Amino acid sequence: MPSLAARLRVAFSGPIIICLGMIVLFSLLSENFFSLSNAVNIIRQASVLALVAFGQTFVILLAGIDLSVGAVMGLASCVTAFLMLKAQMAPVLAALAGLGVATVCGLVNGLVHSLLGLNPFVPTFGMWGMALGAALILTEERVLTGFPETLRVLHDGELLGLPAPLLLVAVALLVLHGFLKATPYGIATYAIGGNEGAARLSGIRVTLHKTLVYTFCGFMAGVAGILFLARSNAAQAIDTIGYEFDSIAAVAVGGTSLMGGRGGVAQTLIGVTLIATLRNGLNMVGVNLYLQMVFIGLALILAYVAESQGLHQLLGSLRRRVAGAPASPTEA
Amino acid sequence: MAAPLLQVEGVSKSFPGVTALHRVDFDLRAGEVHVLIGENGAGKSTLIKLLSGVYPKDEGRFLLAGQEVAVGSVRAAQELGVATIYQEMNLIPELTVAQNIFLGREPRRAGGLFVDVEAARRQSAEILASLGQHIDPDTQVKTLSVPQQQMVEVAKALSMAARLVIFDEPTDTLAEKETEALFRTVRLLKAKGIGIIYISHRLEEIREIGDRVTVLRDGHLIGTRAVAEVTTDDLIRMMVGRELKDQFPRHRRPWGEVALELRHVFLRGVLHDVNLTVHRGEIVGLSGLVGSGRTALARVIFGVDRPDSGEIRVFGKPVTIDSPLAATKLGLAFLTEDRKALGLFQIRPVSDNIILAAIRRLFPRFWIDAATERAVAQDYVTRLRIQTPSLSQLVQNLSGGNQQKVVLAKWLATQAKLFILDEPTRGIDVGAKLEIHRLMDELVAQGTPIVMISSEMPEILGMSDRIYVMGDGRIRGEFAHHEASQERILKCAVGG
Repeated sequence: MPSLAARLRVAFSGPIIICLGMIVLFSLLSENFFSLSNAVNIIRQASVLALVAFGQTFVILLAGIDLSVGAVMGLASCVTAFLMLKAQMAPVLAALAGLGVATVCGLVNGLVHSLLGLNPFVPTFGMWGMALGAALILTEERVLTGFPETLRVLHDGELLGLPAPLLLVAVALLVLHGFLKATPYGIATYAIGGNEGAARLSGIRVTLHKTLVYTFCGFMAGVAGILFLARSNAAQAIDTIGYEFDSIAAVAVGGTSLMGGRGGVAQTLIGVTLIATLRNGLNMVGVNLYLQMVFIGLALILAYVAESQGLHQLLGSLRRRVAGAPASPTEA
Repeated sequence: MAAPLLQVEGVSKSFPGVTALHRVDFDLRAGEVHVLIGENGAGKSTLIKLLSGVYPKDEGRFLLAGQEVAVGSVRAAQELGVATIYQEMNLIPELTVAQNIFLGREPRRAGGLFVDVEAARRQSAEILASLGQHIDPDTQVKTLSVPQQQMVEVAKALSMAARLVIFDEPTDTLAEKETEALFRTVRLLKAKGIGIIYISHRLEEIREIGDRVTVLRDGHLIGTRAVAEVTTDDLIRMMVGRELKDQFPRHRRPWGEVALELRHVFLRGVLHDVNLTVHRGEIVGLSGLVGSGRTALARVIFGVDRPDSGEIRVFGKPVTIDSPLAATKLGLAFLTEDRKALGLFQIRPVSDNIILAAIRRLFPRFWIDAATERAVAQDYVTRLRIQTPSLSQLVQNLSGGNQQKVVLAKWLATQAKLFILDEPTRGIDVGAKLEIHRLMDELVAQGTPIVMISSEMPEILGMSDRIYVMGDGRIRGEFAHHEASQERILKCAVGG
């Protein structure tokens, strides 16, 4: 077993330190930032991102990527709103239908990727376009509002004094973390991402497993889409575009390897917290939305570099490269 | 007499355009090491992949202990007790030893949903201990050495209660001492009554580890013999289907003037006072153990590393070689030992690979003329007898020997005036080896000198005109070919 010291060193790696640093910085810059109400606010804002990023984590652990999640979230929320509004469907049934559509999108991604052996960039990027187009057609490019408010409980509700989105994320985290670390399917996920050929030769059903993971990612995008609908109480096809960017950023910033095989949902939660805190803090000090994107992009690159190379190693290798010294001999 | 552990009867397998195996028979007894040999493309890998469930066979039967079995998938093979240890390691670096050993077959608890981590850890430790290994089951595999990783693979096989273990060229990546440890393990498995199929390129290993040997050639069974009853020459003849009378086709001739001279070359911590002379028309062998400084010396000559002090003269002129580009401009060519990573563009066609280094010389006017490219590439393909279906075949689809010929062609096309060859025939089969050696002899006959690094003693002795022996970054000795012998070189290399 790793020692406690080793565990602490891992726990306080780059992303957490950056996160703590930001909290200190924003607390100094804005008097409203460091408060319980704002913390709850950050949690509510982060919950949508956390759910979609959890799904994305599974895909990235396989050394894949899902670019469709933002559009799929939008489609799920638009389908749900449409069914409540136009078909007078019960909100719970409508939400299940929305979830179903998102799950099918994920299934299609998984099948095209694993059966045809296409780089996942292609099917998921294509799905981004198809899901967005379908949602725009369904809503006739309008904002859908005026449906029953039953689903709002997902966002505004409380249980034992805790906000419902926090509970949703906590349950998802516990279940998924346990799944990844303690079940054979979780280990298979790491194995496929680490060395797909070896996993296949160990008797793991790689094609099936990959398909299920992409399906699950679509499902989580659906859950996130419905929580987004519950929060805004309005559905618009393009509102969730950008979550593909944020979710990949959250996974990478948290320290999950984009090459697959290393990381997990706990790390992703750290990445989500970092990005949500950054967004919230930048809002508080009055930085506009577009400049926020610049900062998040920067944070993604910095955190990833810090995580994968270690900052001092990176500086060292840059110095060597600038100095133009030759590579070290292989046989010395 | 009881039925053998495994019987393979009339098994065939075709891939589009090739028959990889043609009605092959094979059998294996419990507690026996049966060595499978053959040149690249002979069908060894196909046979083991059929046995381990990677591909389905086209015809024939597999019988385990007299019962016909279907090996429909990797999992089915494992359940039948067939475990395969592939040449390229099949472990997941990020997972722990215990996770790798039980990957896909984890012991379960709580109704089968969760992995029983404790049980996996305990059983892994027990199996490793039975192999005499004390590796912590919680270590990540990426932190283990290559031989340790191989032991984890053996442990994985044992954890499947394997009755039959297939080793695919297991010693290719091992040093001599590690090979001995592997052989001990193989004997241990044998003593447990496990049948072993052992694939190897190294003919000298067969006598040490094998009970029987089967030779395949072009997908056909050539024969099965008791190891005690065959000579190495017999085996070579069976493998290549022709006599290899002269294993090394050297014609030694008088040398010309000095082509390359190193005087007092130092590279801090790596090379110490290296003096070396190479004449036109001679092959200079660089011998020594791995880590003795042979490759480091080659890198200095080719400008990959810059020496701290010393003088290098090429064809009499003092030169500073500060980059590989500078080296190629002086007419040097360097074939690295790792041709896959450093010598070839695997996903480019044969023709592109051949003309690449000579592109400036062949096409001084910027545009690449496709007809010229094809003509030049075809010329080398013919002269070097590179076996490829076409010039547009991707290099990754060629056998190891043909890939090595492509690398050689690439440098020949530059009309280099001096070649440095680092392990020119490592990992390639007997026939291709002979052809590479013949090409080397032709090159020196035209006056082009060759510096050859080789870990294979017969190659060093058979091909070199002169031999330098290195150790600890120094030249420890120099021998003319007629005064060199295996004993003298080894003694010199280890510093005796």
